[in-house]
Amino acid sequence: MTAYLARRFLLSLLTLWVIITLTFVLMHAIPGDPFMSEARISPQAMENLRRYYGLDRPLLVQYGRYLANLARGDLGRSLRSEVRDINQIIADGLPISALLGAEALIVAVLGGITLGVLAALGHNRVPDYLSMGTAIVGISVPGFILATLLIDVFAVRLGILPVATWGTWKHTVMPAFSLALAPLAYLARLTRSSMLEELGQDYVKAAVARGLSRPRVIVGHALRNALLPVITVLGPLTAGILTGSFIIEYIFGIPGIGKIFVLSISDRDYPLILSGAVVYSVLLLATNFLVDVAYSLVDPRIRVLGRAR
Amino acid sequence: MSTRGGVALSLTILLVGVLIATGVRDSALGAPVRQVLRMNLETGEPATLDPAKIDNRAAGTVAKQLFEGLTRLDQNGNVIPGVAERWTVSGDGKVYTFILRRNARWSNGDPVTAHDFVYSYLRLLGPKFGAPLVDNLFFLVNAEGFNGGKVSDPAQVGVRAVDDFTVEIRLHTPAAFFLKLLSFFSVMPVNQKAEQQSPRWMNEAATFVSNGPFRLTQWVHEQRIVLERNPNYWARDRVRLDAIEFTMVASRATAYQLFQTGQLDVVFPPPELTGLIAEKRVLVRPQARTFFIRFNNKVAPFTNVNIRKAFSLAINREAITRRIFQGGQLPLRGFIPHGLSSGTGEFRRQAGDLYKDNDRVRAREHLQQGLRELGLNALPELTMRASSAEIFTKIAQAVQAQWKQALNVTVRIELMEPRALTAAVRSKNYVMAPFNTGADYDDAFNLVTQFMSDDFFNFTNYANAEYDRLIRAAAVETNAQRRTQLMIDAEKILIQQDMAIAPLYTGTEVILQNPKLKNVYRYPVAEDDVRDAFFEP
Repeated sequence: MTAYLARRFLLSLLTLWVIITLTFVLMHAIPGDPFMSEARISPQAMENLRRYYGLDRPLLVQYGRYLANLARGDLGRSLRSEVRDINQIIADGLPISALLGAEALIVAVLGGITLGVLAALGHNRVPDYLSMGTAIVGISVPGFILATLLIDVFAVRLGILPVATWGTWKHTVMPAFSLALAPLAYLARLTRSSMLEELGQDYVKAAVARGLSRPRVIVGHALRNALLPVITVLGPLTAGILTGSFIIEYIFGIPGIGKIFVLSISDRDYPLILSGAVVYSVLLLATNFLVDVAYSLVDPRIRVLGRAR
Repeated sequence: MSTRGGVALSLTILLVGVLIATGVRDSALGAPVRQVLRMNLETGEPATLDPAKIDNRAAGTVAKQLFEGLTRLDQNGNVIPGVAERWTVSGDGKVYTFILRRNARWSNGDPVTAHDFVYSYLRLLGPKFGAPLVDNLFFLVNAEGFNGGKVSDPAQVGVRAVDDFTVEIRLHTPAAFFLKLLSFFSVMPVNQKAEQQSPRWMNEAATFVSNGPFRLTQWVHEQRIVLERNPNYWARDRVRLDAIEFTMVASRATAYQLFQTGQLDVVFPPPELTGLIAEKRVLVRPQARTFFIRFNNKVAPFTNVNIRKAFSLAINREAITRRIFQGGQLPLRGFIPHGLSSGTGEFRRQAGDLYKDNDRVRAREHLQQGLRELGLNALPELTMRASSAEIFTKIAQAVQAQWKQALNVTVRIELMEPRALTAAVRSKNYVMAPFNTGADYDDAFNLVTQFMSDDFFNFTNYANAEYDRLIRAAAVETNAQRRTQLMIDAEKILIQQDMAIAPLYTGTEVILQNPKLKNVYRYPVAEDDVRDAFFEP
C-alpha cells in the first residue's frame, strides 16, 4: 500500500516535470512576447521591462529558476499584476472557480446519471426520446448562447437573478447551470449506453429470475457496473470543471481562475501560463488517482489499494 | 411609554428598516441623494494603480480620477491649471517654470510639493523601474540617457525643485504639446513619504495615497474598485460625485445587460447593436487612432509606388465603415486621424483630403503603369497577413473582395494570432497587413515619426529623405504655424506622393450613458475625466 502510494507519487512528479518542460518549450516557441503589443513602447523601455521581469536572462536560467521556485511552492510573479503574485492570484481565483465548478459538477453528475438511467429504462420510448433530446440540446447549444439567453430571461426580463458579477449564492445559479449543461448531456448519453449494455447482460437476467426487486436489480447491480465508464471520465471532467471556464467567467464577469489562465496565453504571460499548467496537472493527477480508488470501490475485481484476493 | 408613542416608534423602526433593507437612495425623506457613478473596466483588473506603471487606458482612467498632474484638460481639451496654479515658458520654449498652489493636498493631508514632482519624475525615469510609457518624459534634458543608464546623476535630468512650490522643467527641444502631456496619467505625482513608509503603498486601499479629486477606498481584486471623493482635494467643493464604482466585466453583451437593468451608468455596447447609433441613443466619439493597410515597401510588388497607389485608391472606405462596421468610424483620406491636434487646430481639417476614396478608374491606371514598370503582365497571388482579432479579419476580408472586384488581383489572407502577427510585422516579415496606430498624446507629431527612415517603429520600411527632413524640422520648430505646415507637407509626401500605406478610417468609441449623467469629459487621446461629473435629479 505505502509502496504503491510512493511509486504513484514519484510517477506523478515525473509527469508534472515533463508537462512543465513541454509547456516551457512550447510557450517560448510561439512568436511574440509579453511586451510586443501594438502599442509603441520604446525599445529602451521594453528592454527595461524585460530586465524587470527577468526575461532578459537566458531561457535555461529562466527555466531553472522557475523549477527552483516551484520546489519552494513559489509560482512567481505574473505580468498581469504588480500587486499580487501568482500564488495570491490563484488563492483568490481558484476557490471561486472551484465552488462554481463543484456546483456544476453536482448538477451534471446527478442530472446526467438520472437522465441516462431513465433513458435506458425507457429505451426507445418517450422517456428515452425526452432524455436524449435534452442531451442533444445540451451538447449542441454552446455555453455562451445559453448563458446570454439565461441572463436575458431571468435577469433582464424577470429580474429574479442578478445579471452578472460575484457575491451571493444567487450569482452562482446561472453560471453553474450554464457550466453544467454540456457535461450533464455527455454523462447522460454515456450512462444510457453503458446502462443499456449492462441491462442486457446475463447476470441482470439472472437477478431478475431470482426474483430480486426491480429497483434492487437496477441500482444495486446494473447501475453499479454501468457507472465504471462514467467514473473514468469523471477524473478529467472534474479537473477541467474545477479550474474554471473561460467563456462562462467571461460572460458572467466572474473573478475566477479559468479566464485568467486562458488570457495568460494570448498575453504571453509566461510564469502564469506555466502556473496554469501546474495547477491543472496537479488537479488532473489527483483526480485520476481518486478515480482509480473509486474503481476498486465500485468493482471489487479492480484492486488499487492492497493486494487482490 | 404610551401606546401611541409605541406605535409611532415601531412604525419608524419599520420604515427605517424597510429603507435600509431595500437600499432606497431616494430623497423621499429629504436626505441628500448619494451620487455614485458606476463604470466598467472591460479590460479587467488593472495590473497596478501606480500611475507610473500603467500601460493601458482602463487603469489610466482610474488613475486619472485618483491623481492630478501639474496641468489638467478642460472639457474642450485645452490646458488648465492642475496642481500648478500658473506657469511661465521661456522664449526658446525649452524652460517651463511651474508655481504650485499652496492648498494642494495629498489624501493623507500632506501638502503637494515641488519635491514630490521631482521625486516622481526621477522615479518614473529610473532604469530599473520598468515604466512602460517612460518615453513621455524623454523630452526632458538627459531623461533618455538617465533611463538608459548612460547618465547616472539624477541632478543632470531636466527637472528640479527651485523651492518647495516651484518646479522647473528643462526640455532639450521645444515641444508644443508639452503642457498637455503633463495632464497624462503616466506623469502624475506620487507621495514620496508614503513610498518611503511602505514601498508597496499602491497595492492596497488602506495605504494608497493620491492627490486627485478622488481617493481609493476599496479594491477587491478582479471584481471591484471603489473611489470616494477626496476630502483633502484643493477643489473638493466642485466635485459633486460622492463615489465612483468600477466593475470588471469583460463581456460587452453582459455590460450592456447590466446597463439595461440600471447597474452601470456608462458602457461600451456590443458592436452588433448598430441600431443604437441609428436611434442616436449613444455617443460616438472619434479616437485618435488610424486603421490602415501596411505595405512592406521593400517587398515586391509594393516596392512600386503605382502598385501601392492602385491598392489604396481601389479601397471603398465608405463601404467598410458604413456597411461593415456601422460604428460611426470616419473614412480617412490622409494618415493622421480625425480629432488629433496639430498644435494650431485639428490636423485633419487643416491638411484636407489627400486622395479620393473608392477611385477605381485611377486605381486601374496606376495598376497598369505599375505593372509596366515592374515588367509584369499581371500580379501574382499576394498574401496578406492579418490578426485573428475580429476587427482585422473583417478589414482583411473587405479589402480582399474590393481588390478582386476593382483590380482583379487575388489576395490570400493568412490569419495569425494577434501577438504573432505583431511579431511578424515588427520583424518586417510580411507583404501587407491591416494594422492600427494610435496617439499617446494629443499631437500629430506623435504619429508622424514612425515613418522616418531610421525610426524603430518604421515597420513599413518607408524611406524618403525629404520626409525625414520635414519631420526633423518640425521637431525643433518653435513657431506653431510653421510647425503645422511642416507636418502637413510631410503627410502629403507620405500619402499623396508615396502612398507608403493605405489609410482606412479613424476609429471611434461608442458610448452608452445614463442620460442623467452630465459633464463627463472625453478626449480623442486622453482618459475620461469625471471630476466635474454629476447626476441630474
